Amino acid sequence: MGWWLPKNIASYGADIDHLFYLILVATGFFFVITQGTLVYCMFRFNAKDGVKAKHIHGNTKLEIIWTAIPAIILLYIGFAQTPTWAKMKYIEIDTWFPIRYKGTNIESDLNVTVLGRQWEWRMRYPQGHIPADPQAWADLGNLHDLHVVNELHVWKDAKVKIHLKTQDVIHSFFMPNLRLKQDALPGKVMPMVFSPIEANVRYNPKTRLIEDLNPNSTWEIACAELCGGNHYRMRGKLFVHESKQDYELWFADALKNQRIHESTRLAPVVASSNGVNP
Amino acid sequence: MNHDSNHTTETKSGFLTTYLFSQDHKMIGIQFLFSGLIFFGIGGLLALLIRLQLAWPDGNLPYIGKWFPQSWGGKMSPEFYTMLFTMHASIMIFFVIIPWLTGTFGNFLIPLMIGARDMAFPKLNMFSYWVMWPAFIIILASFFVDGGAASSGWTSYPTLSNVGAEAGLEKIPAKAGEPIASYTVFKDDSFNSPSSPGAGMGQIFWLVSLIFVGIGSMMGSVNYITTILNMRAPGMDLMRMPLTVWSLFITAILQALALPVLTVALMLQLLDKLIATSFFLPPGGLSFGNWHTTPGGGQPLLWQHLFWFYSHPAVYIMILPAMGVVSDIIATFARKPMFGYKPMVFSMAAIASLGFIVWGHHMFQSGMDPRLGTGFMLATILIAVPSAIKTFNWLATLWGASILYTTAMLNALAFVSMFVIGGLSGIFMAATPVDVYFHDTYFIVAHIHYVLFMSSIFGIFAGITFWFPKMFGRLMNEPLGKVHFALTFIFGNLTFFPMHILGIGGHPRRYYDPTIYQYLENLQPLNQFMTISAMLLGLTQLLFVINIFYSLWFGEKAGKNPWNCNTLEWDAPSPPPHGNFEQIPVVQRGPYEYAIDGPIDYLTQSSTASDGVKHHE
Amino acid sequence: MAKCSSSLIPALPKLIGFVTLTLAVCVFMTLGCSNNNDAYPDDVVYPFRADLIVDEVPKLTHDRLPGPGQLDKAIGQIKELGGKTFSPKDLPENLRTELDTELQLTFGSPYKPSVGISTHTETIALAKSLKLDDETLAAGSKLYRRNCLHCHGLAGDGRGPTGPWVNPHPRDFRQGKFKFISSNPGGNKIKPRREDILRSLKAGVEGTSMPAFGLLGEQALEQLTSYVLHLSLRGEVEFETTRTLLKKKNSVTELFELLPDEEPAKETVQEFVKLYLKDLLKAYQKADAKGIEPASYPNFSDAEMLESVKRGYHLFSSSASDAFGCVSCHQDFGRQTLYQYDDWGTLVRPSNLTLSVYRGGRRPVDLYWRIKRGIPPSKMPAVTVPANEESQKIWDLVNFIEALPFPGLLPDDVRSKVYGQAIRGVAVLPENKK
Repeated sequence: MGWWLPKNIASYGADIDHLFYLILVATGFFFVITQGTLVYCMFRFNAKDGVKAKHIHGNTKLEIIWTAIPAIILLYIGFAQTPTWAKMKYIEIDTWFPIRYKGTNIESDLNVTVLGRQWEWRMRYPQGHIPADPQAWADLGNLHDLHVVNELHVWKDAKVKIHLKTQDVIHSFFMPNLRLKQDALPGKVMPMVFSPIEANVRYNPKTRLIEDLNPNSTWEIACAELCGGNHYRMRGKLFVHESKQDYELWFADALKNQRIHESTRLAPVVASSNGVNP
Repeated sequence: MNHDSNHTTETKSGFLTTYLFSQDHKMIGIQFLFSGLIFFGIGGLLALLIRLQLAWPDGNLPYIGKWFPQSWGGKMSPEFYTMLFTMHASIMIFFVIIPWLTGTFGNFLIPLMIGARDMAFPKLNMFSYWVMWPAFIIILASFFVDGGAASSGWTSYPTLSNVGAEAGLEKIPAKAGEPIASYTVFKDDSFNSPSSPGAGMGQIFWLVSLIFVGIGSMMGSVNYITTILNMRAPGMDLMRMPLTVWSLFITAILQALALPVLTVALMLQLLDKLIATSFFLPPGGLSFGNWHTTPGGGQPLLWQHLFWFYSHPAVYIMILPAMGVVSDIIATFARKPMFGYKPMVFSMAAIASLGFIVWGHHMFQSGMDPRLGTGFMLATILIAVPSAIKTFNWLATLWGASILYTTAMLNALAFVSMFVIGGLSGIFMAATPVDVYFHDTYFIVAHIHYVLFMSSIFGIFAGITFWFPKMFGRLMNEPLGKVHFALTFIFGNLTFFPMHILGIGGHPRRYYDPTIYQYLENLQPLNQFMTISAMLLGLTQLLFVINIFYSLWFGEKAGKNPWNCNTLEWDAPSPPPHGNFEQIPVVQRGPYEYAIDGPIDYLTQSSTASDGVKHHE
Repeated sequence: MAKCSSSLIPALPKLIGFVTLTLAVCVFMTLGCSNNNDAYPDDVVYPFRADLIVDEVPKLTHDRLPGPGQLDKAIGQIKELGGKTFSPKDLPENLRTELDTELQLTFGSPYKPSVGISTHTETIALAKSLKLDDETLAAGSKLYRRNCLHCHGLAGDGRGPTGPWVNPHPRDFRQGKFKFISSNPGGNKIKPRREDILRSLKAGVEGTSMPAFGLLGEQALEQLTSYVLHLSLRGEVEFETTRTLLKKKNSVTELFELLPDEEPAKETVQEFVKLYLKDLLKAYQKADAKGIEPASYPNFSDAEMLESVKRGYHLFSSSASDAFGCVSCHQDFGRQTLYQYDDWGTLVRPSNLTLSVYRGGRRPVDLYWRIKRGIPPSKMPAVTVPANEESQKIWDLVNFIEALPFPGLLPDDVRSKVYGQAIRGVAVLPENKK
């Protein structure tokens, strides 16, 4: 029905979803017992003639129990989510206290700069996928970088690092299927690191179109921080190619398209074959 | 400090003295009540417009599409929509909930419930209401300025909100080696902003208005703290105060400590806009197409820290008084002592203290060090513990009770029930990895509205209904009140519960037209359903307004203590005169002596009835 | 003391009845109110233009732009600054009504757009060949309303609610002029090719608020292009008619001076509209038929590329007769330019070419077109170059422009002239040394 979590394709996504379900179960349990008790009380202890309420001011033991149990459950949730948080943000921990931040330490397969601006996402892909100095490349770029608007192309199982920038106001790069969002702050370059575990497109070099691997696999990008009137229209699409070779086929054609010296129609290596939401 | 000298010199009690220049805390409380009611209506209308747009984002707005300029094509513009949700939130938070909870209940109840004749600083009290009027006028005027009212969200994040016109600068030479040889800066006397139309004069008016509100609240909190600490009646130990007073006391401390931070932040942003300071402008300058701003020396993130340092305690400011009010009402109509009085007091204090160290949970995505995120996460998760304690105590109060279902009681019970939902949904956001997904989606909006509308407002409805007889000497109409309650409860849940589902589906907030996204298409029927419920919810509130005004003149007359309640305010006449009590009562016991053996089942705080009456701990 | 409590249970049946009733109302309303028709309301019409018509712009330069929300105020100042503007309000009532009616008949309303009156068969045929048939236009109208209206305005006037608040302002289609075109020079009506509009839609206009709409899909973009052309045609007819009438003291006869090759049956506003529209359609057809074919791109080795960049530098910065002298407008490679008026009365400036931001597209062919064609409404001239030198000269210049933002790609002497000693902190990226 489309009324639940979107499909998860992030390597850490299953952990997040499990955490979500854990919390759902815990809160659901407490929801049921509290609301149930409330409704029960409302009917059972309705004022009846001749029946007086019990004169009780409190019960210390009870207080301790219902302080300790929620505290324990909540602390458990708190500690249960630390590994997930670590998985998202830190390189594999071998100690229980993670200290190597992924954003600055990862060796990524793919670096992409994403510039959020009013009101679109401008992506820039490096010609060689691993620039020698990613930070400098993120700042300065290269003539033969591929510039794409509103499309993020990665490949399955790639270690992707996004250098998120903005030149005007705060935007937030939100990919629901990757359970990931990051605010883009003016004046800063924010890293986002993820690895998709599933693919949704394949590039067809003959038709020069991107084909969906299965019908319902449109994965989108949205802006998640108010950035002006057109905040709602910063829509992008996430393309996870089925393999690195597939990505490189697309990249080569897209770059050729960008380096075109002849007058042809803007070649259709732009979006997936099914135009959406006309 | 006694005010006997004050109230006996009441020679000229004309309209002006009674209503405009009143220093009587009761009148000031009622003033807050009525101005809050007006803004409740305005804020509600804004909300309905938001929901209309969300239900039919691309359609022709039913009925009101014709009111927009024809050049807009029969629908509202995206900028107008951003203004709507900004002003809806700002008005509801700063002009409805906080004035109703701290202004009305705080002012009216504190002196009465502690057995004082008036506040410690009556003149300051009068000013605390007066200073709201510039705020009212400015915030309403902001709708009519060039560019429209503020539209950067009630959170007003730079750099959307604070980029303004440079005063006096035209061309700034770049430093050697920079690729751009000079920055051409626009010079504009109209304060318009390149980031959005509403970030111009509208934003400035918003900032000024909120500064006034902050000043009024700070005046009030000083008053409350002093009054509660210094002017309690003899025998009114701190641990004998009703929970309403405790909640208002703790709220006042929260306000006193947190508001200055917000006020300063608002002033800093105002300076950014008016005289080209750069508290929140980053080095490197910003680029809005052809308009470029000069490089700043500040940090947009600084605003977020300052703002949330206030606004997180603010949400506790908006719930604690309601919790206190609801506790008293539940004890009264359950005819049973409040279960766990001391734990209730300590948990309110715990909520307030913990509330100061959790502000970062609004900023998990901002780019802070993840370790800092873990710290905030732990504190946030722990705040659920005192809230849980309170909930269990309310339930334990009801267990073995003898419940009378008055309108006030029904509203109070709804508070408990809905607060459970609102509080539990908060736990999802406390867990940082899950919050990364839910941040800025409708899950947050659901949480907000469950704790603010379905909890605080129900608490306010309960409180107004409960103390209406004390305020005006007449009872509110019970059947009408019950119908209003039932419909509000039903339509409120129908409106706000589906927002959780939207959030789980990943529906972002502040979206003018979500249907351009494929993954949100299936959720659109929910949007339409919620809009219809919201419209019915809005209509239902008319019943409450009608009830108030009807009862003011035609309500059944009330005696001193229509609810058989223990607290001190019920010893005074309904309504109390200046000076409240003929004789200051002497407090003999705590406020929750119900279910007493004997001919009547309650023992008021001031009652000197023999303590031979058996009551067990 | 009043007895003011009652037990919950007896109220329950009443409550249930109430709730059922209201839920029934809910359902009823939902059924009736599901209106997500995304077309314009049928009572919305294209309003007759009310804002000023810019006839001549001042030859002034400015060092600053007007602020947000000042668009019409700034255009209102053009007259004082030496330009010429006309107010459509000065048009006599009868002429205005005639024109308005004829425009409505010819171009329809936003709800039901069209190009040409059904009885004018030649016009209809031309329109159809340009994909301006009613069906395409109706679909385009819905898309426009959803995606473009709030910037580009109802009549394509660039004055939607967002319009005055962004800079550069959204294009006002009503003069029938477009900036980034690749149609062949020649003729007095410079019209874009269909492909040019599609390019702007697909790739957006980088550095402005015009987003890229590539994700809408081919079919939607084609429909939008048709609708944009429709708005442009309507706007231009309205613009030209009103301007000429106001200029020539409301003389309808003078209108036909604009159509020297036509033999009007009678000299009325209606007849002029019909013939002028036909004229415009023919111009679009001609533009579409043949675009500028860039000369072939030579193959450059690394050393040859450096030489090409050097030659391009010379073409850019020298004012000798064999060079193009771009630097006279793009002072300091675009870093120190002043604003001047474009044909729409707004302020623009020669772009900063050191940023690697190209509004008309960053493909080499786009740059070629900009150089070869100029940007007529913004006063960027087309280059004059003998046909045999075209290939080498223009591609040399393109190579230079492309290398310009990247210091590592420039020959040493050029680099020092452009960037001086300091180069943005990092000297050269290893990959840039190709």
